[in-house]
Amino acid sequence: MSDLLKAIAENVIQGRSDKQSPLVKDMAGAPGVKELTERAIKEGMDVEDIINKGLLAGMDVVGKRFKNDEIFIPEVLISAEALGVGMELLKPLIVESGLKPTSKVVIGTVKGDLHDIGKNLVSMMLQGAQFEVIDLGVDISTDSFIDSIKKEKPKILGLSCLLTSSMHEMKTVIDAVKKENLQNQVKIMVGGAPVTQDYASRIGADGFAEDAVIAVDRVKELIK
Amino acid sequence: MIKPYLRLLSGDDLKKIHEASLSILENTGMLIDHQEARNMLQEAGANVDHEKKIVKFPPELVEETLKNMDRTILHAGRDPEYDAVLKIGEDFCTRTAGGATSYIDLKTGDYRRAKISDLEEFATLVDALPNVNAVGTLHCGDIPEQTADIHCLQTLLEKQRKNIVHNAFTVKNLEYMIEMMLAVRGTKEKLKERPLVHTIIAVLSPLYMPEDDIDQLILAGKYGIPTGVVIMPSVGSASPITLAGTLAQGNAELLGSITLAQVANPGHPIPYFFEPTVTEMKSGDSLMGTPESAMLCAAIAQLGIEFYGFPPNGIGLMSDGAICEQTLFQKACNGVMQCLGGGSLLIAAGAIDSVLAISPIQLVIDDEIIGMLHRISRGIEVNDDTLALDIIDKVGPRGSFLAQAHTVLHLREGDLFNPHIFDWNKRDKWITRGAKGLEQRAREKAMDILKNHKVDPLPDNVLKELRAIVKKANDTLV
Ligand code: B12
Repeated sequence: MSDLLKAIAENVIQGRSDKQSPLVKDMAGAPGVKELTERAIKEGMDVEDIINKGLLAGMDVVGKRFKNDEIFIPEVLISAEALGVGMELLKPLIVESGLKPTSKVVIGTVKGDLHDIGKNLVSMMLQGAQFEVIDLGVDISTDSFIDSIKKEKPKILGLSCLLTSSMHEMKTVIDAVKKENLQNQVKIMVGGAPVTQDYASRIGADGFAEDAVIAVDRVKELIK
Repeated sequence: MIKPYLRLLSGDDLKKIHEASLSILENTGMLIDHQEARNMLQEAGANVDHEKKIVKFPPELVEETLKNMDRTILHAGRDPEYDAVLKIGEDFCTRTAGGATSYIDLKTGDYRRAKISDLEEFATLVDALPNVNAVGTLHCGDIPEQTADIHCLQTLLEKQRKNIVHNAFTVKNLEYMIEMMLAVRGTKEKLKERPLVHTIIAVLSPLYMPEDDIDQLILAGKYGIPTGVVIMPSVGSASPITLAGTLAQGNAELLGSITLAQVANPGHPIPYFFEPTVTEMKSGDSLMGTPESAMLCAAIAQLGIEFYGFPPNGIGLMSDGAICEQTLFQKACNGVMQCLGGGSLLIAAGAIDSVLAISPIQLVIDDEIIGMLHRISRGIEVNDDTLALDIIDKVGPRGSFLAQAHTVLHLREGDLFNPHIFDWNKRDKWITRGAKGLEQRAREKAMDILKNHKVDPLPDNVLKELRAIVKKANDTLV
């Protein structure tokens, strides 16, 4: 593999978006993902190679390290951000080369509930995994979820809830999706501290995840 | 580093305790059961009653001695990378307990007489665990009784690389041990420069120094080998039931010992250390993990730092009984008090049951507790970077700090303690990950270390020499 792709992967691993990144003292001033990706584009490298053997190869390592408890969420997010910087530069070329666009996820915290730290984390991790995330925010009504599914046509709908008093809202949304006959178009994932796999199955959700990292895996499985 | 240490005592209290100690030394004196030592002290200005063997120390002699002492204590490892330096203003170091006779079997949990193979196992763990900086003795039962101390030293010299704090049974045994230290270090000068073993002698409270211990003190001093003086007045039986009186007496016993050591061998490093226990008033047993112990830990640390300028040692990791949840609380409580008090050496990692037993599982758990204490002793740093105004501005209302370089950098600097043995996962995740208890996780970590951790052997010629010295000791002493 070319040194340039290796360097891109390494900078994703280190979370160095560009040469100003303060993250690795020994690498201060050295080109980051931005500069390296620009160079790869200029050298006319294959877009798929830059993505798969550079950016995603790096992110792969990050994911494995995280699962091995070697690194922490902020490090994953900052790597994901670096990866995003590279992807942004490649976007025009992706459209040109006709590569598959990424899948969409609509996510939100259900009606009556204002907790969003967990939901935001799930959004960030999904974005890091190159999903296009439309985050509706908190206290979202069933109608808003339905409208958004119709408008955005996401593959996945994510519902977050931390209050037992609002948990029934998740079932209301799922029932509405069925009523509108959208259940073949979109798969529904639920999560939040009080939610369990058992509860998720009972209300007819397609998936559940206890944390943001597992959420990414489950979303990938559901899309397959 | 933490700046304003916990101040349990006022400046006035400290002064009163110091003056009380001087008064004990001047008026009651100590029983010094050693002709040569008494002679030396007499020559230095002490009032000596040779018949009663009582030495009374004039305050000027004690104060003058203290003035001239070095304030840093080096616990040298086999190599400098294992050194632990005790210095005021620096983060604390930790050592395991010395003197236990029982061992908790790592696999079965049985409480039994310690064996030399246990000490080998323990040494490997000590070598591997990052927060343990020095190791104490374990008295093993499956080796010749008269030379068990020499055998243990051989094991610790061979099987781990950190500083060893070791007591000799007699001054004769100490001679062999010094030979062993010289075998590893090469020359007397190198040994003095980097003393890889600290010796230990005892003062029997109240106020009595036995002859052989004084022999050992003087011998160690000749080689510049630092000597810890074990002073364990048991509150209510070997010292007054009042903590102030115990502090005054223990401190007097230490200052008297220090004075003798300096008169005999000027410059002999003696750590600032005494370790009162608390009398269990239904049995007479000595306790070390009581709330009184915790306060004494903090008070002794404060005396050492504020009054004498010595980096203080203390028994911050002691505990009584053999019930895990109880020992954990006692260790945490004592440890926090000593650490906030500014203690320089936390003693007794791995010990349970009032230091009667060593537990490898407890050692692994203690390593984790010490890690938390290190985080606390580093304190809260306040500067432009840590106030993080620019980051707060950048993130703004409703943003997240998770994906900020500032967050990652500080995370990597260890701003947030990250547990290895404690499991802070929510219940569901804890269950999916096997629902393991603390002891089980610690046991697994210990097993893992024992399987994978390698300690470089000493050079062949040194190993041979050590074996020859131990054989010689067995031939003459057993
Ligand atoms: C922080 C917090 C708050 C903050 C929220 C700030 C914010 N911007 O979100 C504030 C202070 C505002 C708050 C308010 C309240 N809170 Co609150 N809060 C919490 C707390 C301490 C932590 C929640 C959190 O952020 N955790 C961290 C994140 C990362 O974890 P998480 O949310 O569980 O998300 C993870 C997973 O669940 C999963 N996940 C989450 N969402 C999704 C979605 C999908 C699709 C998937 C797949 C996965 C997934 O992945 C995430 C990442 O790993 C919890 C207690 C707790 N330990 O959970 C109480 C808690 C949830 N709150 C509670 C309560 C009662 C309230 C209040 C009613 C208090 C009050 N009386 O005012 C209000 C309610 C306001 C409202 N209407 O919503 C209770 C709920 C009890 C219950 N029976 O429902 C809790 C459990 C505390 C308690 N024990 O009492 N709270």
